[in-house]
Amino acid sequence: MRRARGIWRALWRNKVGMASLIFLCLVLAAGLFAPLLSAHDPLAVDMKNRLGPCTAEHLLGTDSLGRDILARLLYGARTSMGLALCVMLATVGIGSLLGLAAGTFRGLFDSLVMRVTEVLMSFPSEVLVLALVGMAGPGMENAFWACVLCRWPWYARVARSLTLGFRDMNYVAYARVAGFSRTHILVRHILPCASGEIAVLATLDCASVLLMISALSFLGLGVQPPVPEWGTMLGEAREVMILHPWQMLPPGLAILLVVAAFNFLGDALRDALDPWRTLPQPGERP
Amino acid sequence: MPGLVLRRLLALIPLLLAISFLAFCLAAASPSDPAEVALRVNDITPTPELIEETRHELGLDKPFWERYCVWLFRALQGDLGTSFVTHRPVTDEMLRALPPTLALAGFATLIVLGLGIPCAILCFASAGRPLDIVLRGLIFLGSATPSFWAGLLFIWLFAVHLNLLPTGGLSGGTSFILPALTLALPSLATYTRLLRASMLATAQQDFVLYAKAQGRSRLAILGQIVRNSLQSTLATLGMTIPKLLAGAFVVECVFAWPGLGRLCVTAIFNRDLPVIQAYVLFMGLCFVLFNLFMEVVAGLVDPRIGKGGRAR
Amino acid sequence: MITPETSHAPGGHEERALPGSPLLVARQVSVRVKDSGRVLVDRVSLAVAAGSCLGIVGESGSGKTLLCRALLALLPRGLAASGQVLFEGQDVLAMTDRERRSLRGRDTSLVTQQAMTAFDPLLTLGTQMAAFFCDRLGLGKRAAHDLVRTVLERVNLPPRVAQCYPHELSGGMLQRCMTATSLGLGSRLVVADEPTTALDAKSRRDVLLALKGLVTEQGTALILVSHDLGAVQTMADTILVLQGGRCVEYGCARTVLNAPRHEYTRYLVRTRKALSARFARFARHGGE
Repeated sequence: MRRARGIWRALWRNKVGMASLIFLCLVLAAGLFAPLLSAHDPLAVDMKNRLGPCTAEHLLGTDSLGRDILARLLYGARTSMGLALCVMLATVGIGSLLGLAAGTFRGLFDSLVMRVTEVLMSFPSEVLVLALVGMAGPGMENAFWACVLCRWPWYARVARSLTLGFRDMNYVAYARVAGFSRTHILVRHILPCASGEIAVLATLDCASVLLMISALSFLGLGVQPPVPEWGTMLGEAREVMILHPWQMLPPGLAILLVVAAFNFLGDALRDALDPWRTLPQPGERP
Repeated sequence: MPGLVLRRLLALIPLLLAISFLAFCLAAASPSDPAEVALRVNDITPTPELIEETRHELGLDKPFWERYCVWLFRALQGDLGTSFVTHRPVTDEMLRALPPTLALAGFATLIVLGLGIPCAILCFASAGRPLDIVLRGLIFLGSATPSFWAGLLFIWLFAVHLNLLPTGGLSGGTSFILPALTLALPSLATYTRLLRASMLATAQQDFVLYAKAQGRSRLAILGQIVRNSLQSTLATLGMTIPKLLAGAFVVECVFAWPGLGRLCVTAIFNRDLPVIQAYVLFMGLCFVLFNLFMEVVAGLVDPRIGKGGRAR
Repeated sequence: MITPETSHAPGGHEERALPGSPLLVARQVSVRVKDSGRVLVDRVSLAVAAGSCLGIVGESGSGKTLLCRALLALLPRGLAASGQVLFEGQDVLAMTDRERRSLRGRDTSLVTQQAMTAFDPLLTLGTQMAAFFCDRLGLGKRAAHDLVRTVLERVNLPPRVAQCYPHELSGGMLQRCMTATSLGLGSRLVVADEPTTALDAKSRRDVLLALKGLVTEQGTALILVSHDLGAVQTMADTILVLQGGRCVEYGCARTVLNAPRHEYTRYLVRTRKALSARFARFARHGGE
């Protein structure tokens, strides 16, 4: 736990990382409290007010069906970020549990898990997601499970190799000699150490999942139209892009900022976790 | 070297089998009955008799393993079934869509290399100065921009607003520019960032100090650093190219590019299962073979790996 | 760590210690961290003449390597040197990058500590050495490769070494390749930074012999940095003892080793003697 506090302190000192974390929390809160922040219903169609400009009533204007863009953006944060976070949690859970178990128990189970990850990882994840969505049919749930299914192998690999690395460390060996059960060692000794590395991977992965899901939604394969989601919004904006190009800006910028924040946070976490990592210093030119 | 390649190819056989099995399973595990799908896409109302007939026609009444073996045997001969929609052999459709996708990915790779390496060198040479900071900002922006959004913005700016380039489709050389640029953007950002970091790390190494102490020219030393950094980022570059191939589906849809990805997305909307299956198989094959290829290249380039070195 | 009496400046020993006109004179050279101002090397003065060898001894972290790099104006970023480093009367520290570069190679050269990483791993040694010769001596490709063969022979390495990649050679061989490079370049001053630290006894002897050859045959001025007193004893005419970034003793090798005036030098000599005595005893017992 002292380690956790140390990481937190290092993260606190990293201004960009901290700003990203605060920004992400704000976006998440905006999504959660969307009904309080916007008086408009994101689904309320108003055909008289189509493609309206920015007014005091509609701060970001209205879309091609006269729906308030700000409201859709806020409710969209719920769907987009919520989905990304859920995928991340599910993936990390499944992946690291399988990896930890494989690394701890070894044997047949280990080789089985590793063969499966090998096959899944021999595909680029984009292809696998597309294939899974393709087989199961377009839709939000299918996109969700497709993302989870094709990402867990990475966590399983990391968790397993960390487990194997830590298994041979002295204090784990002591715990074994002292007669603790394998499960006890796994939960009390190996899990806390592995969690840091997994946290970095998960944060960076949030960004790519968000990109993946919004890309699928954009193409009509993920979240289906009436539901507000940033990718879907961009897909709808595309229909009117010739005459109303500014419609593309709010959802696109939202995705860009959130993805950038996740990337910054991931980098900051990595630096915080590993202060002795030999960072390439700027300078020393020929 | 040929022996090594052969050994690695043999080792790949189980993996390739597993990939084919996965591709087959995906279709088999699909919640919708292929027979029903096959009828529906042709606007035939499925009656129980018709479904039964189609099932027999598609061989779906046979046991799972038998179906897999038949499918695999046919796939090895280049027969991946017939499309439910167009009723043409899937292999033909794939082969028709393959060249545009390959060309697009190849062009994007050229952009990644052609822009990424000079960018990284510029960053490195001006490390800590304004140029470096501006370039790094652009790189970061590039890595966070969703490619479909970037594609739309490019279309709007260059095709609609400035009317310089075509909005989409494959028609002549200029139609390559926007899709390839859009496709290359995220990889370009990632690779440039990595190469810059690698160059900074290489510059700290002893051989750079030694070359400097013996008075070699700046340019010669920069050349050594670039060579060594390219070498150490070769593996990542190897991973970039299949990623470009795979990520192409979004860009292909945005630019109405007649490639594999768009074929697959269209097939998904049409529930054209054989095409999706073929796409998975195809991409898996590409990915695995490409990894092998990169391994061989790494062995040839680096004297420390394998038997590529001239000495010994 | 530094007690008051250890911090006397070596001041005017240099004229007494050195015969002939010195090639390189350093006056009051200090190295400090730019940001914090922490002093890592404190006002060290030394001189070395052509055809002679100056040994710099001291434990790890005493600032030997930094002093060397300051003499060659090759300090890592974030460190700054002050004082004067006069190479034939020209102050190296005050020069522009271009002037310094024209000095390097032909006039001053370096033999680094980590031989295994001192050469580009992707090129053969012949290519790299020839590149140095082409660059600094203005030789053609063929002449440069001929020179490579000649100098390799002079440090007792077989010609096939030129076709090898660095990872295929041992540390001692690479160390001798560096010496050969300096030989080929005809460097007038060679700074050898712990050339024997990472080597076994046999290669250590080979490397020292090669360096000795430089001094006696070529008339090179050699600065040999080491914490190995034995190596310095066999090579050096003059010895400078560093402790905690300060010069605690500087003078003729025989005087320093036989009648050390400073406590720290006495300690170094004593440990060395104790070690060799123990080794001799061990050898005697082992032989029975």
